[in-house]
Amino acid sequence: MDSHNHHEEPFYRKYIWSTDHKIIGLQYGITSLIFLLIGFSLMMIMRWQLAYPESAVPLVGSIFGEDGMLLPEIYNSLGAMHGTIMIFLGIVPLAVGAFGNYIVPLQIGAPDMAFPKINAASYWCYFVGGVVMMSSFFTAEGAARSGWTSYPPLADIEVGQTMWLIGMIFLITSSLLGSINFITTIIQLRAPGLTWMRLPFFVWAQFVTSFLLVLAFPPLEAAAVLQLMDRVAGTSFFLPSGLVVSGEVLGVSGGGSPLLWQHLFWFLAHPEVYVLILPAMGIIAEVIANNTRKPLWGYNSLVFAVVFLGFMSFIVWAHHMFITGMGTAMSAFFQTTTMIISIPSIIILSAFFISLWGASIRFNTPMLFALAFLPMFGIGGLTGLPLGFAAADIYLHDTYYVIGHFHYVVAPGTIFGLFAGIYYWYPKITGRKMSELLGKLHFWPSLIFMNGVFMPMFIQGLAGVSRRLWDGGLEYAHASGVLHWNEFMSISAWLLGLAQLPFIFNIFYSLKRGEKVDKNPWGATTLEWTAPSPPLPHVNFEKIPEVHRVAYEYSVPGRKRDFTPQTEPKKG
Amino acid sequence: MVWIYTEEIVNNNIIKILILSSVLTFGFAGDIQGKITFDGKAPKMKLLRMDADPVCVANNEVAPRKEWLILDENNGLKNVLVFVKESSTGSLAGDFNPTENPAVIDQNGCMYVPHVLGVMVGQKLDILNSDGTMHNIHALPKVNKEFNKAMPRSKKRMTVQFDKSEAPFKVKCDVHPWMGAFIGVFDHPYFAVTGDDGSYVISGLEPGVYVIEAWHEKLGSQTANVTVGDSAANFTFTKPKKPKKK
Amino acid sequence: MDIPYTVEERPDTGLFNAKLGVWLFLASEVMLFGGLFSAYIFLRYGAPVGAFHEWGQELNIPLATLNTLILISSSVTMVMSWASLKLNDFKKYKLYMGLTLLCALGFLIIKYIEYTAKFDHHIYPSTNTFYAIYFTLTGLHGLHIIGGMIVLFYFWIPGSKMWDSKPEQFTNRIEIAGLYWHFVDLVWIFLFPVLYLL
Repeated sequence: MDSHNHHEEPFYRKYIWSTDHKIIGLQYGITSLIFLLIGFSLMMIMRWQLAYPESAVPLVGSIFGEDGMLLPEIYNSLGAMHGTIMIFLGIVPLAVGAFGNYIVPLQIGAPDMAFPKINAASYWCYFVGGVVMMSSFFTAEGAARSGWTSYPPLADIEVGQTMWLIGMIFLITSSLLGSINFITTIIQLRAPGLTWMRLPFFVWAQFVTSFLLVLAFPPLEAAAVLQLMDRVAGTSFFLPSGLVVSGEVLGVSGGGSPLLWQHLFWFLAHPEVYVLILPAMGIIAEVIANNTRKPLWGYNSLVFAVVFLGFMSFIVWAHHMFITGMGTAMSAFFQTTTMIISIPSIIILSAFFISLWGASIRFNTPMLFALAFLPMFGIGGLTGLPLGFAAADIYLHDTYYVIGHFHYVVAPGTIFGLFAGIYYWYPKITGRKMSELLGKLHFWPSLIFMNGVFMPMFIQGLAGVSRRLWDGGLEYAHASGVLHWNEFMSISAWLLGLAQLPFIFNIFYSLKRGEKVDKNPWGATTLEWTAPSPPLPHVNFEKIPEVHRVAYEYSVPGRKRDFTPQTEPKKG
Repeated sequence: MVWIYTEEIVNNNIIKILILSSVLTFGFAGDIQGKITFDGKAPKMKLLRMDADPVCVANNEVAPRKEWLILDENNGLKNVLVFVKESSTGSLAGDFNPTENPAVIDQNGCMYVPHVLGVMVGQKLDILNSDGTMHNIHALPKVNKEFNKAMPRSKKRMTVQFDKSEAPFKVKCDVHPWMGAFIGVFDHPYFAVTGDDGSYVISGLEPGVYVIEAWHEKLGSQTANVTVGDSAANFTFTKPKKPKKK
Repeated sequence: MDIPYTVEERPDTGLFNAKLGVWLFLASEVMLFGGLFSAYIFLRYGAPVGAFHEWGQELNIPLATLNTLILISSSVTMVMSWASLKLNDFKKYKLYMGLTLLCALGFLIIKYIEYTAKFDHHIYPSTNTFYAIYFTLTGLHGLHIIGGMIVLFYFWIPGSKMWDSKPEQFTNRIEIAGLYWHFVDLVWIFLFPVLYLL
């Protein structure tokens, strides 16, 4: 160990301008959890309007004007920003930035990321992007209100979008810097003996995720640049000729195409869906293997499935565009690839389910979240199949069915995975376990109310209720039979909000009062558990570990302990 | 004395010549009074089709027509915005505080009431929604800030104001495409809109020489020089350029 | 405990970290320009037949050809500067790096002349979709040139002290800066025929 690691660094070097992957991971984690809370709060406000249209919003109504009503333009802003914050400022930074940064170098036995300074730059780009996004609420124009997908021509002419684009360019840069770092780290800094097929599944998931980010984000950056040009320099990339806005022909040269944006956007945004889900699957794999005390079932097929999934995710994007009239040949191609991509997802999910078979499961909080993930993600995935067929999608497109589908994937899916990860790795970060009682108080209501929020969306969606209506569809006769669900969903959402209080409290409470544990409290096999808790600043391990085994040697018959760390040498 | 316009009515593919004459007199010093009349063959205003929104149909006892030409039996022309454009004696140079009373525009029966409106810079403009349906008020000024605000049925009142003087601009509703109004913003209080009989009064002017303008949404605008003095005098709007014959 | 493979190659991958990193970065750049080139194809396909060709007639092909030559020369001098370091000839390195920067500057000046000529003829990005994509692509490429120049300038003067302390790492840095520079060059080699000649 170098001597310079011993002297105390000043606070700002240690915690603010840090280049230590663990500190950066925590910075990512804390920032993104705050953003998740903000994004969730926006949605809770929107749900008031949907449940009780045109009445004053309680508590925060005064922000929206003297009568406290949520006007449509504000509702649109909240909707667009809810999506943007949750995806780009919440889940991706938490799943990739925080978990990836903190756990990946530990799991591969590296002292840090390959490029520590670029790592810090990545966080600060993310931070600036977040600040730009949030400050757009306070500008005269207000925040973006063209949906998180920012479809032109609306996004080209509607106010508030410029800040959104600038914020996105920062966020994209952050993701690029981060993912280049992850890939290099995983390829170059694996500890001696840690061959590819000995990697924990979580590392594989992060590896594929990083490739998706490196290759899928630049086209969105290109699209953002083009949209910025449309807004600032008066170009017509996404504006067709003779476009009539508010009864007047728009004074631009025209000749562009709104479809161009959709292609560039979804070329990113479909892989983005896998960016959201793969890290969570990686966490679930770790938690399941550890708490079933069994090797993960079908590790090899899991790895091949996740790589195949990553590849396929680049050629399914236009299934978001079936109703744009791009032609049956295109639709046929993309619905075929969409059906194919469901195969690796199902392989992964099946492998997780089979891993449970015959295990004596430890029902601790991370495992509860992991177990809940499986059926919840299952619902999310299976309800996606009808959307992958052009014929069914024409009916379901832009209804609440779609909202229900992808929220099942990301909310009780990904976010439960991330919760599992927080409960699981908290002892590694702090040296203390989180309170189990509070954890269960967090888990059970969350599970119930998540379903309370999202299950009725399928009912509304199948009835044909559009997802974009400020009043939830009051003006439409076809919606009248299902609108009473709105109140139920909204109350579920607010109770879901309350259910997060034990979690927030738990994080702080356990910091001081949690049960003190040694470096391997769960009896786990992977490398991060051989480092001290918390791992040493800048170097992680007392000495770089050597790896002798595959990742999940649990309950091997004839051994004294029911787990064998990867570092344990083989005899003979 | 005579005010001549060419007007293309594209729908009928016929060019009609509409003649507008105005008679303006002084009542007493400091006021400009007058009456604007329409001369010529008045086209019939078409019925507005409001069936897109049943609430709009229900809120009108009589089926409403287009509003750009409303005449009384003496051809008095409603909704002409008459205002002092400039003053050679500098009487407009002072600072005028906007009146405390807010101007009001109501959305009633899915029409704007009034159809033409003048407000002062900084004067409050109350936008009302008496309809019980969703409106959206989209103002299209060039100088002031454009705004586009939704007014759901339960949003009964919204208040805006304009920061700069500006020639009349259009205000529209993106929900009900037939709705339209015009607002002129002035940095002085010397403006008026003609009433049902085409008459108007601009009062409180100091003695001096003024250019006044009469503005109409379709027929264009016309100016006249007028001297406000001790004695009453008549004036007319200047004769326009020769109408183009097509 | 330092981060391994910052200078020396990892035996089983044959790469040092930064080299892998820059290749990944270039992969993302390929996707960025790939996205913009597909936008070009999309717009050209959507425009009236022949319109893109006709609109492009205003462009100054001789100047662009000159620029192409300048940029290719800069790539050559870039390689020479790296090779000089490999041959332990620091003076030559300085010379070639200076020439590279000079070429880059020349490229930008010619680009500036081209741009102002367009503006003088009232041709702006808003004129039509061809000029929209022309200005976007060449502008973004120009930004890449400027970014590269900043890095190269750093290695030319202030950062070259590293040669005395860590010559091997310095040589590596020049190599990966060169990779980036060749990429920017390559982008132009695609841009030139696509925008000027087609």
